[in-house]
Amino acid sequence: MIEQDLNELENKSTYIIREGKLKFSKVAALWSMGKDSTTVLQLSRKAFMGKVPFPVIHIDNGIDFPETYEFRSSLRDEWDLELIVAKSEIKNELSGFSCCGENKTKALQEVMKQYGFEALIVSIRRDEHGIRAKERYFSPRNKEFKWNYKNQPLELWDNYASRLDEEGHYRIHPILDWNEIDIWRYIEREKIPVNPLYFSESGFRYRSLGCTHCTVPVQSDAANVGEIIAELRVTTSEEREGREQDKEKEYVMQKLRSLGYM
Amino acid sequence: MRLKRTALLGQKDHGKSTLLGSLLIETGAASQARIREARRASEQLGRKFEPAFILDSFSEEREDAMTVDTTRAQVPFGNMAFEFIDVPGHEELMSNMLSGASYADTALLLVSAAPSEGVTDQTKRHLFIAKLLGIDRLTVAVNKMDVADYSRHAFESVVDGLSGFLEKVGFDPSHVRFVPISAYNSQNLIRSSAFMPWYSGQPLMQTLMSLESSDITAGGGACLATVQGYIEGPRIISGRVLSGSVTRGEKVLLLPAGKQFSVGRIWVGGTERERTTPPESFALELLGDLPVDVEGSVICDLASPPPVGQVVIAIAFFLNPPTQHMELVSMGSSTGVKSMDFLEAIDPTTCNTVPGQSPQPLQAAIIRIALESPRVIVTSDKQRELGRFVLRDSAGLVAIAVVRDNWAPGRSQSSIT
Repeated sequence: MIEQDLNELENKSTYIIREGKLKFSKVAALWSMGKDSTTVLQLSRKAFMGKVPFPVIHIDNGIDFPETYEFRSSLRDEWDLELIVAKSEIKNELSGFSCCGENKTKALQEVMKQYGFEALIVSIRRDEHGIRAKERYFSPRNKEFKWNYKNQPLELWDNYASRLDEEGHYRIHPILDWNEIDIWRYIEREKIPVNPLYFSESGFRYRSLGCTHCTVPVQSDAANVGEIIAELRVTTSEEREGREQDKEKEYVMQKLRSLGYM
Repeated sequence: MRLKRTALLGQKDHGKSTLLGSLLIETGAASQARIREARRASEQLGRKFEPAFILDSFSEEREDAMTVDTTRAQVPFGNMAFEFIDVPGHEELMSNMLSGASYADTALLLVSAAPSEGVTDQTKRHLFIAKLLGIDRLTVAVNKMDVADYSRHAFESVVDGLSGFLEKVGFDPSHVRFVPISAYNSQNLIRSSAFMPWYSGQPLMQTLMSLESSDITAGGGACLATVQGYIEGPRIISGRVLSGSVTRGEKVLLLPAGKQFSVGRIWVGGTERERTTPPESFALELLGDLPVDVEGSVICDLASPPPVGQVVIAIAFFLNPPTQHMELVSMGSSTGVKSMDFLEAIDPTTCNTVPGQSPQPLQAAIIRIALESPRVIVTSDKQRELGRFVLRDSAGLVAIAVVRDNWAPGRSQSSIT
């Protein structure tokens, strides 16, 4: 896994976050309490004089891990976050396509409508999945939250698209360039608090965090940030191996993303 | 580690995605899971293993064997790391190609040596655009040597067919390398190929490593920084340094307003600093009576301000026909276009010019634009980032362009820069 220059990444990401905040009047960040979205909150604090200048949304289906909820309240207090919890109701089978797709997307649609957000900061990275590698930094979604991946707006240099269609919104992806190992190196450098589920207990840890129903731990003895970095330097497995939604069948991620999933 | 960003250019079906897939496998950068997934997808479509499927992840891309949108993939090699940007080679997807290529420092062009393939108009268009985007180091991979019997003659006829055009576009022959390869069979990618004993040069990856990129060195020159807007009150602005440095306590000029301000506190990455240098993204206080709108402004030294004006002369590549309501966009800020004249149309596949004729999509032109309000106008050879812009209308992108200093009718147009 290639380790990139953290200052360069930080500079680019803070530039994108500021651009997002300045180009749209109502912006929010999605916060899953995972390592990536927490890193984006730290970058947002750095971009805006120490305080996250927009609300953070947790799409809560009620089945996240207890550690995740605890981490949510402690960091909310520590960083003085304006937290919006969007309750998502689980109506259908408890994993994968329809769970992530319908349940979470519906909850997000409702909260976006209620608050009138024009842009959402989302913490996806290119190295997570082949489909995510095709994303833009600023990516429009239509009224139904659909991603028109066949006709994405041009993104040349720093000229990001920001023209809003009626009732559509933009997804802003400030850490698209980062690799998994860069996130952990940055967490180490910045001493960013992380969910304890990432650290090994009895030989297992979570490498990628979803809800309790579709995330499984991977074998690992890495019990702190330094050990996770050392592990990533030699691993040959993929980050999202413990995520059910990615492996059900071909193109699940493509379908989920085109329908509005993060 | 700094990444060398390399755009893969070339005609559709000349093997860009296949090459990138093979490189990821050969260098061990693709995970076993990714390779298994690509193998399974190939089998499901009833094909032999397609290395391209490592990158082409959309179902449409696999079924139609055609890259639809850009992908980036990182390849570690020796003490370096490359980020390859795979772009669509299909003419209709030219805008996606541009989007990908705009992030590259250098380029790798693929040309098929297979009988009846070779250099096409699309190959030439990609070269024209690469040069326009400021790429001046080029590696040409002559691909599909397996289909051409690994013959020296086939390789040389591609080299001969392209050299004249490369010079016409403005590439310096000493910054161009040709390498014969077979992407599908992984020949001459990271090891010399036994099938091509007549080739004495280095394999592809070693060749890419040896071509120094023309990165503009950071830190030198007069102070230039762009402004995004106010991030806290009408006092603290954010932006990015393009050259020189901005130092606390010094006097700077804000353009196009043309007013002087003192620099107060400076923050980079949330930490207070005495100065900020390229390519840092900063927050800083300007002391004085600031304008209401600072978006798109430029901060510079008092001694050497760049010119401000309302007329821009540029060389542009058109993706769509120009319309009445366009705007010029550069460094994230836009200015309305009052009018546009075509001084000379250029055919990017020949570099020949036709005076006064308005260009069609996929054609280039020297244009003169009158802007609705003044902005800083810098030629691309003086400052690469400020010297380039896009033209767009309500439907999207119309053209990409780089600023030139002047134009004289009838001047011979030997190179696009």
